Amino acid sequence: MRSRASEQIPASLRPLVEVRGVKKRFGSNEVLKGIDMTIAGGEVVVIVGPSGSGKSTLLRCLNRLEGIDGGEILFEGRSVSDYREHDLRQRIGMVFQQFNLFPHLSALDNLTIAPRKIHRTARAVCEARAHELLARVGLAAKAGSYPSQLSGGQQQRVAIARALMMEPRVMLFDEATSALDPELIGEVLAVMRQLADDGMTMAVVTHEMQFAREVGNRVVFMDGGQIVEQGRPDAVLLNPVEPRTRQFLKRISQ
Amino acid sequence: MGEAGYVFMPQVIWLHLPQLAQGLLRTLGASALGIVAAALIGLVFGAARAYRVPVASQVAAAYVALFRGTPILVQIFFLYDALPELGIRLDVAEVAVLALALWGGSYNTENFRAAFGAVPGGALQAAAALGMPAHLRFAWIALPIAFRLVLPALGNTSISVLKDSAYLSVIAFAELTYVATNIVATEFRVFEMFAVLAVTYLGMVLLLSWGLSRITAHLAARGTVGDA
Amino acid sequence: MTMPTWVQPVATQMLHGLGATAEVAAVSIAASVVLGLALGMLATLGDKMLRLVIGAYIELWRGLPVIVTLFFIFFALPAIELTLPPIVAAEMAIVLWGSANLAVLVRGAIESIPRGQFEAAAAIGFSWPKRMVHIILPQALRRLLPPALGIVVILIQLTTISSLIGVHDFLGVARLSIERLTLTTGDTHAVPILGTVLIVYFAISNTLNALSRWLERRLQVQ
Repeated sequence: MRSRASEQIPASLRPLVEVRGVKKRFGSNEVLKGIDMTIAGGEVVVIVGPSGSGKSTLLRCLNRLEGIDGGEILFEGRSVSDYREHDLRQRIGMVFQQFNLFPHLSALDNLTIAPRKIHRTARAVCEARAHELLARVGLAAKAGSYPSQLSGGQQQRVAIARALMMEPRVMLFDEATSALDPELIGEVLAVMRQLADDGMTMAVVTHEMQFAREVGNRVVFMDGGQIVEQGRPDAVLLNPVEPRTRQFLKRISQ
Repeated sequence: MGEAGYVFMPQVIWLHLPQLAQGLLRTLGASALGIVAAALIGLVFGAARAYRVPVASQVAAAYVALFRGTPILVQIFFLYDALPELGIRLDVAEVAVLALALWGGSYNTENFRAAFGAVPGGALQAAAALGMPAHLRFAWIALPIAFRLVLPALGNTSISVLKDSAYLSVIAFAELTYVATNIVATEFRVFEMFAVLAVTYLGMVLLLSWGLSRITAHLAARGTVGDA
Repeated sequence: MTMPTWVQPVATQMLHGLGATAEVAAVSIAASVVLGLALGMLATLGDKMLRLVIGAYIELWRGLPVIVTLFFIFFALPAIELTLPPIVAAEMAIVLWGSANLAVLVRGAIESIPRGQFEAAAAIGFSWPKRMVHIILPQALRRLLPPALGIVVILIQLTTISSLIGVHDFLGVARLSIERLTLTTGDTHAVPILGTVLIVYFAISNTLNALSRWLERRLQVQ
C-alpha cells in the first residue's frame, strides 16, 4: 500500500466523525439497528455490503439528508444536530450515485453557484478556483459544457469537483460509480484515489473491492442495518472472520 | 344589398386601416399585460401549490377551480357589471387586463405546479448537500429549471390569452374584433372583415407558436432538462 | 327568511335559460364528437390531400377566437341569403371549434397505437372501417376519454357565447334580468345573479372534472 499523507500526521485527539448507537427507521422498517463507527481525520473508510443493508442511509444521516431515530452523530466533536443544517453540509461534501448535476448550468457554473450564492464570493475568484479543480479532475476543457453533453464519468468528476469547491473536511461517496458504464468507472476511481492520496477524509460506499483494498484504510461490512465486521482491508476482504462477510464476498466475486 | 352575388371589395379594408390598426394595438397591449400578469400569478400560486405552502396552497386551489371551471365570458361580465356593486369601479381597459390575467393565471398555476413538481429531486438534494439553504435552492435551482420546463405550456396558455382578448369586445373594449364587427354592422362587408380577422389572428398565433418552438429547441440544444 | 320579491321571477326565467343552455350544449357536444371523430379518423388515412385539408380545417377553427367565428357565421349567413335562427349559428361556431380540437385528440390517439395493431388487424382480413371500429378505436378510446372530457367541459362553457347573438340561454337571461332590474328598481343585483351563473357552471365543470379523474383511474387499472 502506498504511503499516504495521513500516515505522517499524528492522529488527532478526537475522530472527525463519531457515530454512536445510531438507529433509523422508515415507517415500520428498521434500516439502521444501532451503528457504532468512527472516522478519523485523513482516514478513508470503505463501507460495503448487500443492497438494503443501510449503507447509503448511514451516509445520508451524516450530513443530515436523513434524520436519525436514536443514538447520536458527532462531527468535529459536536452533535450534528447542533449545527445549522447548511453550515454542516458546507463542511461535509457528498457525491451521489446519480451525479445530480444542475442540468441548466454549465460545468463551470455547477461548481461556482454554491460559493457565489451562499458565501457571496466574487465570480472571478470562484471561477479561478473552479478552473483549477476542473483541471485537477481532468476536465479543464469541459468548463463550458452542459451536463447533457458530458458522459457519465465526466459528469461524476464534475460532481466531485463541485463538492470540493466548498472545501469540505469530509467527502461522502454514495455508490459513486454504480451508475456508470464499466469503461467509465476507472476515471472516477482515479480521481477518488488521488483525493485520498492528498489526505482527504472519505467515507465511501461502493462495490469496487479492488478500490477498497488499494485505497481504503478501513473496510466496514454492513448487513441488515448492522456493522458485522470492520478492520483493515486485507483482513476483512481476504480473511473475513464472520460467516456473513464470507457469504457476501463469495457472492460478489461470482 | 340585394345583389345576386357577393363581390369582395378589399377597398373597405384600406379605408378602415387606421381604425383596425388601433384595434390591433389594443389587442396586443391588453394581451401583453394580461400574459405577463398571468405568468406572474401562475408562478406564485404554482409554487405555493407545488410546495404546499399552508393557506396559499388552498387559496390557489380554490382560485384555479373557480377560473378554470367557469366560462370566461361570465368572468368578464362579472368583473364589469358586478364589481361596481361591491364598490370596485374599474374602467374598461382595467377590466380587460384583469379578466385576461385572472383567466390565464389559473391555467398557469397548474402549468407551474407541474413544472415545479418535475424538477429533478436529485438536483435539489445536491444543492442541499452543498449547504444551500431553502430560499437559495428555490431561486437558483428549482426556479430556473421549472421555468425551462414550463415554457411550452406557458406559451400555449399565453397564445390562448391572446385569442381570448377577442371576448373583450363584449364590454366595448375597442380591440380588433370590436372594431371589425362595428365595421360589419355599419358597412355589411362581412367577408372582408372576416378575412382581416382571420389573417391577423392566425398570423399572430402562428408567429407565436413558431417563436415558442424556436426558444424551446434552443434551450434543449443547450442541454437543459429533458436531455439530461 | 323571506326572499326579496325580485328573486322568484328571475329564478324562474333563469331556469328556462338553463334549459336553453342544456339544449345548445347537448347539440354542440354531439355534433362535435361525431364530426371530430370522423375528421380525426380520416386524418390518419394517409392520403396527403385529405391530411392537408383536415389540417387546415383544424388550424383555422382552433386558431381563431370562437367569438370571431361566431360573428362571422351570424353576419355572413344573411349575406349569402341564408337565414338560420341564432341558436343554430351559435351551435355551428361551437361545433367548428369543438370538432377541430376533438379531431386533434382522435388523430393523436389513433397514431399513438403501435403499428403492429393495424398490421395484425389487416392481416386477419379486416377492412379499414372494421379495423377502426373493432380494433383501433376501442384502444384509442382509453387514451382519448380523459382529455376529451376536458374539451366537453370547455364546450359547455362555450355555450355562453350564444347569449351574444340574442339566444336566451343561462347567461343571456341573467344579463337581461340585470338590465330589467336596473331599469325598474335601480339596483342591479348583478352580484347575486351573475354569482349564481358562476356557481352553476362551477358545479358542472368540477363534477365533470372529478368524473374525468375517476375515469382516468379506472382506465389505468386495466
